[in-house]
Amino acid sequence: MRRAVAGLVLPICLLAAGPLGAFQRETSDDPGCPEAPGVNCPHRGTPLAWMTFPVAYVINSDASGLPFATVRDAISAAFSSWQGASGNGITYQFAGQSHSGSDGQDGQNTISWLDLGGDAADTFGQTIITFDSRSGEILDADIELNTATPLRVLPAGEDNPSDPNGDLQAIATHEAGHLSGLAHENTLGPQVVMFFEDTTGNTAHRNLTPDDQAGIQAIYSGGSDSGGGGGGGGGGGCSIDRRGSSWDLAPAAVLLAALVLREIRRSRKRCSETRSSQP
Amino acid sequence: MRIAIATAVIAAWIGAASFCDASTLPGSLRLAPLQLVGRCDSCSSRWEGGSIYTYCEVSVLRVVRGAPQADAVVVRQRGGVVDGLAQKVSHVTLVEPGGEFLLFLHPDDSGSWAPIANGVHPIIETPDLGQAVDGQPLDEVIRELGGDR
Repeated sequence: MRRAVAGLVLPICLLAAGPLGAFQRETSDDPGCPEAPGVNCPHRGTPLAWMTFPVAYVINSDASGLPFATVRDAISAAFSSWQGASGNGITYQFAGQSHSGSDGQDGQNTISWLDLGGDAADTFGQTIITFDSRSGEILDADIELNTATPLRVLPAGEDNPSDPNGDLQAIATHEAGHLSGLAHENTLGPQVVMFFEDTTGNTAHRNLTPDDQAGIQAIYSGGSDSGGGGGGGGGGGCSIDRRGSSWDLAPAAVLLAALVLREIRRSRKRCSETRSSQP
Repeated sequence: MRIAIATAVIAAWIGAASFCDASTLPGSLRLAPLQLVGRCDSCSSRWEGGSIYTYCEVSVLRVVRGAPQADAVVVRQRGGVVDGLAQKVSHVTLVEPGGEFLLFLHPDDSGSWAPIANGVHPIIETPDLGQAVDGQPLDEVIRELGGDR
């Protein structure tokens, strides 16, 4: 009986845990696909990557409502996470303050704030990558952060859904993943930095998960390219989750499975006690 | 006890299975002034300042909300390919020639229509559902949106 139940419980736990090495890479040809929890978009063509280093970036914080030093420190920390995870396979360099907006032809990687308007109303930010469509070499990448969704530097570890502010460092970490060539990974749950949605009032996405680390290593450190689509997938958005996620059920499923096993053990113990007390 | 285990296992299974549920369309999409089912006939891209924009001619197959002025609308989106240089926006689903889409559009500054956030939903033909959007039958989605009354 225990084996039979374990045989049922194990697949449930594996389902809840999701596949390993699921990271996705931006590619030169991504067909349209609305994203959802558990759904990665297909990716075709050549995976995208930087080929010259360091990847220099400038920051235009004019419309951010934050002191420049605060913005610079948060964004630098975001890039440092990826650089560290790659073992310096990719390096980034802060190249100064700017007052320009994004421009895919200027060869300058700009992080700036603007109102993304109706096209991206529910979006914290987006990354615009300009690349050679044949080789996949990234030539320019700009990050646009949405003034319509306030970003602040939240206290480390905050997890307060009622806080209407997004965490700048967390959002910047996600967008820096795009800038580096990673796409959305939606099968492992919202804890993954490259998950397509984020929520206000939490800083969880400051911290790369093993899957995020495997992704950046696969591109720049010769790590195993076991993720999806040419590496991978992506699409979707860096949007605000106002709906809650069905992935919230994953811990419940694991807990339920654990309770089932515990109940079986107790039952067997009771049975053996009953048997031993019988004459 | 056996029933309890069976119930727990079934409940856990339902929980796991729900990970694969199609998400319902975000409520914000219902505010789009033009909602339609269309087929993308052709697209062309060009640089505008520092960005590539793609213009697609979309034949209107079914209007869900709003009143397009013609049998076809032009949908403008950021991203595309021009002379070997490509540009993509991290959260944008592009309309592609040959595909059919459920579109949620608003008029943009150029006189074209632009999808609102998450406003492009490819329609796929499935053996069990027929035409489907996000894993749901297209007709059902349109009914939910209040169309085809």
